[in-house]
Amino acid sequence: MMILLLAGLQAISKEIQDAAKVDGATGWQGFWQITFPLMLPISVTTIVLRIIFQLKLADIVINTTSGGPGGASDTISSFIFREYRDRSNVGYGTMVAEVYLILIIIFVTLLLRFVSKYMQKTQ
Amino acid sequence: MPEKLKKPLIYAALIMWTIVALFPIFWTFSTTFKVAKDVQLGNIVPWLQYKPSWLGLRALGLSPDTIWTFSTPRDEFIKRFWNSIQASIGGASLALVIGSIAAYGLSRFEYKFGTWRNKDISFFFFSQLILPPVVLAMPFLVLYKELALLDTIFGLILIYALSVLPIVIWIMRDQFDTIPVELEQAARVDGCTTWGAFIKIVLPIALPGMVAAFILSVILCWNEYFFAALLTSTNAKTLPVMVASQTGSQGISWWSMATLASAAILPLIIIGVFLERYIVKGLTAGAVK
Repeated sequence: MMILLLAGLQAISKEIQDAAKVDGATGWQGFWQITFPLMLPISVTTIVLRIIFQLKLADIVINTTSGGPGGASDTISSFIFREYRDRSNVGYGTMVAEVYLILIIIFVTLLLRFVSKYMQKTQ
Repeated sequence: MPEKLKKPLIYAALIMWTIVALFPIFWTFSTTFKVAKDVQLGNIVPWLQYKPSWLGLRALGLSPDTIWTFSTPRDEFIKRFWNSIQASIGGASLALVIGSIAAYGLSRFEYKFGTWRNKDISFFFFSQLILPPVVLAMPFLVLYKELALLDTIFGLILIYALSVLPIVIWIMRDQFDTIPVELEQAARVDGCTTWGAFIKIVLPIALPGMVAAFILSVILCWNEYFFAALLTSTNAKTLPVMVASQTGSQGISWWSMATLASAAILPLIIIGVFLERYIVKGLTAGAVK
């Protein structure tokens, strides 16, 4: 994710910064009024990608706490995985997986719609 | 704030953050040389708080005094390491070949699929990223069992290629979009076929993006735990699964786990230090939009 941000930062041309400096902007002003707005699309993309990736989080939970204590640290993915592996509850696990898939489709559709509306407003 | 103070303060903040970011890696490396007591007590500074020993490396048969003797854990470690290399490089290469061709098509030609246009097809590919792998776990397990691909490297390569394909298509499509179409038209006028123009003209120009996509896919496949844990058991088990399975009947052997984890992140560190420039260059060329 940092790579995406770094690539975005390098894509902003130095001349814009220099122009701002010539016009008398301080470092902070240059950041907030030039760099930050220009970076906004990339930042939003990064955040959305991050959210989507974290919805799939399972391996860290399984290996550090295996959902414990008492299921307190389960994500849905790790819960389904443990349902398959530890309790051999294939039917229940598959049903949870299907419901999760539907929920994720709804959530991500709403998220993307919100983000694209927001981006149109800023541009 | 006076000018003189500014620079030291910025550097102090940066150094602080560097320590925060690098501490887990340092901890992993140093745990390799700790005995059980030091792990439990949380001793951190070597030589001052604990005496470094070869425990972790000896458990794997890699320490100086055991490197020439026969060792079962070392054989297993080498096998797992080789499995990981095969699976990640194989998966990334397959995804790169398929993904480049798909991305080229999406970038250059107009497709119709019902009411779908190019944009919708691209989004369809990208939406595969959203799908949680756990949803596919059971279907894949059944499918792999029927196809006798369970516990084979080839099966892992196929599923890794599938899971990194969206990212490869995404990067490569933006890469191809930045290449002017006139170049190919000139090649076509000079008598190249579509395939010839693609291979001789477009691919060499898109090489930085391909390298970036390839490295990103290798890293993603290398770190993949979920499918490896699910679809492999003895033969094709990869390194992350071996790291996670260091919990024996006598508690967790932290030192061998730390040694394995260090060995697992070492290739990524090398890739990161030497090839980071290419990744950023490839992505700057237009992947971020």
